[in-house]
Amino acid sequence: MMSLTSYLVLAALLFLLGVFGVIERRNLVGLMISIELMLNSASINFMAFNHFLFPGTVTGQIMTLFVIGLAAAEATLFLAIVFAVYRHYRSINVEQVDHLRG
Amino acid sequence: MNEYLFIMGMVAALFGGVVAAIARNLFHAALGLALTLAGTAVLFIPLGGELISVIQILVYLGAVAISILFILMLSPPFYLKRGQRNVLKLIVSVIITGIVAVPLMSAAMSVNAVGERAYSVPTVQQIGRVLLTDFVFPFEIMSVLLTVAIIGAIVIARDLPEDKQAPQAQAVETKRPEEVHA
Repeated sequence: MMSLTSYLVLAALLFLLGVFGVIERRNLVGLMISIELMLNSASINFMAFNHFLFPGTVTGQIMTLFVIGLAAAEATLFLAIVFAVYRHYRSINVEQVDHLRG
Repeated sequence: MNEYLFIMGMVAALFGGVVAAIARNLFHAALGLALTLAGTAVLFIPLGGELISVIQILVYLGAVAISILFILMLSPPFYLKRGQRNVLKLIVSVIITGIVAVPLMSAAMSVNAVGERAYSVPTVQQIGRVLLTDFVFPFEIMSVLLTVAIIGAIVIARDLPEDKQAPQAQAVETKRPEEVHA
């Protein structure tokens, strides 16, 4: 039950849910929730590979730490960008925020 | 014990992930994301990652998920307006997800399954030593990045005087409420 494959399949399922959300959602916050799902599945993969293929080392765990740190930085900036976009457009629907469209 | 932790974490992570991906109400989606993050923290324990599990709960669940909820609560309640699902877009999303799914799942299945390893927990001391020797450069870059992110967030979210003028009126005019869509 608890093998490397089961962890990888679980992470792949979470990643696919994230992909689905990124394509289907039209709200900036919804997009961010989906992106967090994908980041999270990547850190599951790092931990699983570290445990099953390289026991006794900590490289995968440190990568997971960096993923968590990046997600924190991203969330901060995202909060600010959502506020700025909302103030300017009065909407956070990504289909209405199109002033940069060429 | 580890089996139970794995099953619990798996069920929580998958259920939360489904809610986060498909819930119409964005508030429910954010709570689903929080459930996924908590389930992932449980999943890390059988992998010998007690420290990472605690950090996941502290930083990811305690800061990232909460800041998403803050965004939702500080903005007007657009997440309560549920529009119709766009069927065409739904079909396209399912197709693209399927295209991504085939190679991803086959790769995940084809990895040589290694039997369960002995339960070895790296100590906090070991993690700290590697972090400050082999990974000291990324570690310092990360601290610079976090500082820059905080300063950048303040600069972006600042109230700019020129924002109070023209584009808003036009934006309000063209806004179609039935399109406000989760």
